[in-house]
Amino acid sequence: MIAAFFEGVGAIAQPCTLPVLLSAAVFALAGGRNLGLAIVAHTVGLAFMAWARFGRTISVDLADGPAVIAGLIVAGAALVVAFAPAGGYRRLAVGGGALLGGAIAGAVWQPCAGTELAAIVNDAPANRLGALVPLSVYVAGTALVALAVAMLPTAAPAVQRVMSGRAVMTSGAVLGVALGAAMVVGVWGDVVNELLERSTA
Amino acid sequence: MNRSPAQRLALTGVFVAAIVMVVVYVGRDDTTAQATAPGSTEPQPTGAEAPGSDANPTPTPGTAVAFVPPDLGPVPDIVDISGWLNTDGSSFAEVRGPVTIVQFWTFGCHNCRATLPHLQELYAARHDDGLEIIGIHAHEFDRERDPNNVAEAVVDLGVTWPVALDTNKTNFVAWQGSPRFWPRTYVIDGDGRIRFDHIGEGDYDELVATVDALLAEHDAAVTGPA
Repeated sequence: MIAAFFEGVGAIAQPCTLPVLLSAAVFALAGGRNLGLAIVAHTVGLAFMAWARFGRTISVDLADGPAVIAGLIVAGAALVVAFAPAGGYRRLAVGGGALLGGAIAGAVWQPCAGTELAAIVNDAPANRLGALVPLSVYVAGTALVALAVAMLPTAAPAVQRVMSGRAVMTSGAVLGVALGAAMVVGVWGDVVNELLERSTA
Repeated sequence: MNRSPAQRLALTGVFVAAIVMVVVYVGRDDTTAQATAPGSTEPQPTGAEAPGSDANPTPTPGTAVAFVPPDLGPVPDIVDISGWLNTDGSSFAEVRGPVTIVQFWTFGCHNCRATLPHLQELYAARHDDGLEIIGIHAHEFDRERDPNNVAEAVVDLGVTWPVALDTNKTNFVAWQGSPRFWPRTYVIDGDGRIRFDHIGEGDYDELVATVDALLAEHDAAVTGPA
């Protein structure tokens, strides 16, 4: 289980995980001061969708080609997360929107499987319930850095002020709408390619 | 929320520790994976059981049970290939052998590259006995789609077996359905049946055992009953 967690941590550095990290970043920004909640909810959504797909419970794969409904969900969820009014329902909106965003990320995820993830996904179709916890642990590993970043606002009030700013949340919403539009049009892969090329140039 | 300096320091320390763990894990030397020596993990003739397989019954004490890889169904064809590397063949039928490992990979995938030393050792040990390997290169990102980049990577990585360029990912989708992974390794017998299907790294012992068992099956079929 520990090995699965650290393999998930290491997956952050691999291009295969970039689509997932991109989605997490969108909802983290849009979450503003609820950054931690957004990341946790995104991780939960990702883990459950991945578990359902890898266990062959559902058959959905949005990695290739246009994904109209998924793109609309991502764009809508990002807008809800970013612009939900402060108050009792904001946390619900942030959690729910990020959960949906994570689920869509799980639907586009085509992993490169190391030894630990391989052991999980090879066993998943025959042992769905048994795969849930180790897969969730692996996905939690991929979210470790994001969760650490999410703790910054509590460690530094200045960061919290910045993250709570309308500009940051709006940027998350804009990125989310752009991401959703790319999925609708079917150029999502090209977007990821471009980011990868620029990040490794 | 007001926190004491000690609390802030503790939280900052957790944050830094998380970053350090990531850096240490990512930067570790993981190229020293010991390839399984083909032959050293051959199934024992007595009490053998196929790892992860339901094909072998529970052995009765004192009886020998041979490892029989499970039959996982017919193999799809390899179609819509934009080019082949390391071979003069141009189709699955021309390139395959009596026993064939088919692996979906891409050179940008760290986990795919991690399987190569194991495949290289197995190929060197069993190619003359009838093992062929076909690497179906299905890109994940654009830079992996360029045939020149693939050809360069094949040389750099020491891949000596035939490589099929699945530029349109036709086979990547047709063989795997949903969900799809890198790498994914299949072993095909001489009758066109899939006898091993593994996602990701690992399970090299079972891969070797499957190849050895199928080569023995092929030899027995060729030589006939004693």
